[in-house]
Amino acid sequence: MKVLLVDDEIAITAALSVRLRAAGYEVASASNGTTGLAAAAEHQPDVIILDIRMPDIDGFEVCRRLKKDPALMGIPVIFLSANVQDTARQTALEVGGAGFHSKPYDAAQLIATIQSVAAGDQAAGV
Amino acid sequence: MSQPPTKILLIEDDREDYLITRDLLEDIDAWEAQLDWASTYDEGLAAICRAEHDVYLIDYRLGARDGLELLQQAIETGCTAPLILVTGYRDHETDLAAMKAGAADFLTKGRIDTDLLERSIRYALERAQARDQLADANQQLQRKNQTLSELTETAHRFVDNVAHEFRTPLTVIKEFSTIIGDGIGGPVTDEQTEFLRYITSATRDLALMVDDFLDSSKLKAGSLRISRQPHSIKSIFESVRPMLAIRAAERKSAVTEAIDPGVGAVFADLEKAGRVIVNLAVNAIKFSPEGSEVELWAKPLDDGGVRIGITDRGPGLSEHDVAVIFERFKQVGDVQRASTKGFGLGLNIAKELIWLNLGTVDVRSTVGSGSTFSFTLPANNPCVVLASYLDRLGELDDPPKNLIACTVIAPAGGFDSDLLHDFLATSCRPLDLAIAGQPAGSILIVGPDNTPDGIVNRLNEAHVAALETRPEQTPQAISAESLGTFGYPSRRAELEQLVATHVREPQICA
Repeated sequence: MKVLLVDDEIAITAALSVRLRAAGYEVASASNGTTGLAAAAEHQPDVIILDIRMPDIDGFEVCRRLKKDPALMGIPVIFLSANVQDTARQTALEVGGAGFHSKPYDAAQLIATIQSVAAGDQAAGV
Repeated sequence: MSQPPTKILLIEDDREDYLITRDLLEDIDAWEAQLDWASTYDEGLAAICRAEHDVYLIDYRLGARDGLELLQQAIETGCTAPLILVTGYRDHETDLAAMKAGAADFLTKGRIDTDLLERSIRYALERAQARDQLADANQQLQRKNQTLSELTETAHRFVDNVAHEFRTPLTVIKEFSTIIGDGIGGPVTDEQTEFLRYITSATRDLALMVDDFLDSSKLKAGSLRISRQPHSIKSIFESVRPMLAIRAAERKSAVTEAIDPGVGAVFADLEKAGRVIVNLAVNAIKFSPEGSEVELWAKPLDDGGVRIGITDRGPGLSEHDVAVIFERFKQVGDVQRASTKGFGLGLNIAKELIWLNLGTVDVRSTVGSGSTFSFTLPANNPCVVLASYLDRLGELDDPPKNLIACTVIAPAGGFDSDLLHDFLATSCRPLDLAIAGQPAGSILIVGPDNTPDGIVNRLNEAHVAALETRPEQTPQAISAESLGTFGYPSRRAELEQLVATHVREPQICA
């Protein structure tokens, strides 16, 4: 299974890459919204893990654009953010997010979410 | 004479009356009057518009028009100087009309002497000055209020940002130390694993503190959102189990769980209730000897609510400490002192979160045989939840001052009459409080959905709005008024009648 990480904090993508590769995932990463969108189109991942606060386009907007693109709209998006406000969770749902985890995250729980959204997506696609 | 003369304009179509007025004013000893004369309505209005005088004496009869009209027009054009209406004959109705239109005084010709005229002008000027000062002060207050609001807003944004910025490096430290500890980066020795455990443990503490810090800031701002839903105690315990297991393992301790079979569902914010349990349990684990057992339990209350407690076998607290802890609980703002004894910000936050969950906190302790911290959560029953909520309103330092406006809006499918009846019966005590003039209430809105969630969320909105803005500006107050179905009942009988009427004939609102 292929996971795309989009986060402007390199240490976060590094940590998650190590963790997810160790768990058997194929991992690609991007460090801002623009390259994130390009990477999504290029790699066609099974799941995208998306930060919210990024320098160019924020995660919400990235998700909105993904959901408008027929080629990418089916990829489930899990938001991973240091913003733990209820409004952020709310907006994450509104823009089409399939999950929300706050930083610091629990790796086991995050992996469980990746599994469930990926499975849900496959089921929905059938 | 040190004071400049008081400039007076007489608007009067009779030259004889002008001369009389001039003579009267000339006899004033206390201050100097400078009288000008306008003999027509239009001339008078033009002079008023130039705003060159301190006070205006307006005759009631001015050709085809009258002084009252001139007075109204003067006020409309923005005249703030006192306007005194003078008439040839005494007429109570004109007097009242003049007062309502904004006249500073109403004098009857023939009854005026120098003393009366002098006093009337002096008082009118004094009142106008006081009114101007009040308006100035009010403006200043509004400006200061605005500045304060902006400062508060900035401070809270800052806290939000700081908390946000803290989380990213925390995540990196925690994640890499667990990655190393899990052996993903290569083999680690037992000793290194233990060292790494200290790092992850400290990082978790720091993450909790950041959460507490953020909550504390939101609590002060009144912007901590709460989302109460029906929950089973089992689901609340499940939500904290992994966290508690990790914390207990660090001290080779164990957390046991015991749920009394009589315990029912509660109406609470799951995350906030969980945070409280974690806060209390982490303290219990910290203060207990290594390898001991901490019990997390739940027991039913008489009203259907639930008491959740954490019992440890730690050193216990002295009577003084118990009293001090409750003192600390009160001093939510006193972070410095609260943290000196190692109880941390967490206990203060716990108390506040319990309050938001409509519960109460309790501590029992004996030196040498451990402590029990416990708190209550209301039953998943709208009547109980409402009663708790209304109790809360009465406990506020600065409760809403307006009387309860009981707006009963029917749901689309009609009333659940049993539920409404129960609600009214249960909420009698707080209503009594409001009627007795105690500031117990805000605006109650029942429905359109009679779910506990809907009711309480509405109550929250009404309550917050009433605290933050003037009551008459709250959307709830506006809608209650515009519905026209309910006033603001000031007596119990009125309230009972209103409620009785509307329970039988519900107003259907979209």
